[in-house]
Amino acid sequence: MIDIRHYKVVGTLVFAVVVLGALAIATGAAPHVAAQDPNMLACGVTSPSDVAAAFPLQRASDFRSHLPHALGVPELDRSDPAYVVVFAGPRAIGVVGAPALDGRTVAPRVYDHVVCVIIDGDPTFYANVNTADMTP
Amino acid sequence: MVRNEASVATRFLLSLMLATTMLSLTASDAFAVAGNASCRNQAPPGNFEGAQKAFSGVAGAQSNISYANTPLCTDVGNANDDLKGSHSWVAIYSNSDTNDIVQIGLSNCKDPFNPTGCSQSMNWFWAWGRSNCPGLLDVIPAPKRIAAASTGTHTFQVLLTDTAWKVKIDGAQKGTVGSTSICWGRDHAGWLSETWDNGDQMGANWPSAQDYAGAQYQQGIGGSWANPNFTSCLRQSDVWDYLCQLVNGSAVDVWTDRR
Repeated sequence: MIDIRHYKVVGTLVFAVVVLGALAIATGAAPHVAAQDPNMLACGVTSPSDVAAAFPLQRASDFRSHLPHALGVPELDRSDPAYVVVFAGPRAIGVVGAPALDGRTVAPRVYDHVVCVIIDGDPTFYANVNTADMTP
Repeated sequence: MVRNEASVATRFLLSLMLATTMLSLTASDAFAVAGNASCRNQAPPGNFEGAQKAFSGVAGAQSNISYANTPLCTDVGNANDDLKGSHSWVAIYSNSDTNDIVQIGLSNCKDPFNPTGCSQSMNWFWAWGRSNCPGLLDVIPAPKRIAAASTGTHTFQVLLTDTAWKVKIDGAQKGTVGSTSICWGRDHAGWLSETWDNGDQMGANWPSAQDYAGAQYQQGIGGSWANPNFTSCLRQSDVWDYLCQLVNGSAVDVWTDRR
């Protein structure tokens, strides 16, 4: 005869182990992230392996002097200090884009060669950036 | 002895099955409450409900948007739980690429790759994007947080002047980008709600609705403002419980019927 109470107890214990495991994973990652630069956190950096390079700009307009093969960024033609994070791999960033007008097909939302530029705490994400000859 | 070990193994397996069942029941749609459904982890694109106006050269779009608290879906333990969001916005965009857009509105989202823009609370946000502009880098239209959203109804506006794009709330400028930063054709104005996960709430919750009212678009830079004369809802949703209804030619209601 099956005693359902036994399975409830064991089931609850297994559930607790699952929750504690998740907490352990979460708390194990937190100190590492907390130790990072606030600019890196604002750009969504969760691991050093995410980043190919990161460096400050005295003026945002210096962007292309560090990334000489990047295309134009007129919105960065300003004297405010900035911070640049060059990502090492693809990034799946959520976008609030327009609806697809030809059905449900939209551009992929996993982007390659992503660079984040922060000005006054506000990140802007660029995609398909040519980082050849970059000088951090 | 062998029988006892088998019995222990059987009990363990049964326990594991019970625990798994408890977890899945907790997360299942059967237990979902209004506006707080389980994450469905669908692939992009997102869902849209609302209205739009096709007009070549449009230079302004605005409307009042009523506040609606839009809870995000409940995690079910899938890695894709991390990306979820609900947004209600006014925008000008292009049919050339879904990333060609300037918009402003309400947002609640979670995105580990954009924690600044997606802080998992009700915010005012704006965003802009750019693609395929000769000589210019592509810009990803990720949400930019403006401030915590206040309740009530507010007027959201996207406006292009001779020199800059401006986004405003109740007449106060909240963001800007130079007109030289955007090359894409301005051929649509939109008044839309959007979710990233099918389990996120869109608009208000049944039986009330989030209202876009007094919608107008500007016919060219500095031009006159016009009524968009909506004739139908724009609906691009994977699930049945996101709904839209025209109120009149310049107003549309959006809500989630998740009873």
